[in-house]
Amino acid sequence: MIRVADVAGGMRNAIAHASRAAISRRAIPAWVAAAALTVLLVVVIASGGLETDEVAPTPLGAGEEVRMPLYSITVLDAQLTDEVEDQSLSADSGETLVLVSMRMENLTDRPIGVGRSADQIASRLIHVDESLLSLSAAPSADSNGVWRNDGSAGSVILQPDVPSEVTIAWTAPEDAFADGLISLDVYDAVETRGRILLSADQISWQRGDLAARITVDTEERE
Amino acid sequence: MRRLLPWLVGGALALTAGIVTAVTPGDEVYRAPFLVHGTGDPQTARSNTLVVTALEATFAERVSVDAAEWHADGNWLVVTVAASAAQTEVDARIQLATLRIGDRVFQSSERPGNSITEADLRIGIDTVGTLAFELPPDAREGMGELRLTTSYATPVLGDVNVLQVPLDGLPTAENIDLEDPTLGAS
Repeated sequence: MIRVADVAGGMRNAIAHASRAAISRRAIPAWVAAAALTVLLVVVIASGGLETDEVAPTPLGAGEEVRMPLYSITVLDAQLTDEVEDQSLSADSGETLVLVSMRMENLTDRPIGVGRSADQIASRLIHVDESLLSLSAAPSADSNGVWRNDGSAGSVILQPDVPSEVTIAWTAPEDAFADGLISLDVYDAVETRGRILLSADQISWQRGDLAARITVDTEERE
Repeated sequence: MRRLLPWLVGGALALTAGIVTAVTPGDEVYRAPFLVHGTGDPQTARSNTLVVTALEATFAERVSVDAAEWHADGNWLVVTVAASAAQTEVDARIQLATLRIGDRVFQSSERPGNSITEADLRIGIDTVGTLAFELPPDAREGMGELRLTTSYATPVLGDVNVLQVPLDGLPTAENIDLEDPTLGAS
């Protein structure tokens, strides 16, 4: 039979022993470690380390520049159409062609292609899954053309530090743009180099954070 | 001393391993192309696939292609080259032409549509044509290095013809009309 007085006495002894141990000299390193951890935790919380990582894209309009480390982009104009005769593009029924005209600048020191690779760099701006430029209303829409606005020949290559005006065409479902608003999602580019299968001189731009969402109202066009 | 020796040897080995790791070149070095530099005046570079001579270089504020009713303003460098195939006419074309100025690399512009990169080259007969480089306004001086290859991209362990183009003191034209490549002229 266990007596209540024995149990209470045992507990008192244990508490007294624990408090002696906690303030003894041997416990100093533990207190220092605990204090350091507390300080670290406070710093992490104060600097937002425990907050949910939410990337809110900057909402922009036509004529406003998004400048990122590797490239910059300014949407000049956007329109919905069924056909672009001089590029031999036409939309099927139920679909529309979304044309976005923009000024782009390559801020690296090597040339990049807009709809193709240039030498050893795959810029992945369009024409691929997880491309750096995509339509918010129809992220899986296929980009099916890119050309310079001044009628230049060839597939577009952006030279370092030389801005160019280009138009990109996407084919998208017609009902995605019933309100006449076209929003272009612009992702930051993260440069990755080949490993194992690809050699280190092969550079690929991968999708980083959503840097901006540029919205143009096509019904405001003249 | 006897107890210290293993620590000294271990430290020296670790240091050696660190140095070897630091100085080992990356795989971009042993996959790098062979640069075949041009010699003589005018400079000519002969590689396994391409023989090319730089004839003239001029800056232009505007380039045009009258036949296509196209023109573009900017800081253009137009280099006239004479090129021929070295051993075979199969796929003998300058598919990649780049110009290095300082740290920056520019690719010959696709915009005119009639540069020498569009021409099929012949063995023993020069094709004379132009390469137009669209440069930022500040790229007007120093040494330009023209690199030409018949590969679509910089080849792995393949030849690349290299010609030096000094930019200082080059004349600037108001407009250069770019003509189609011509076979047999020089």
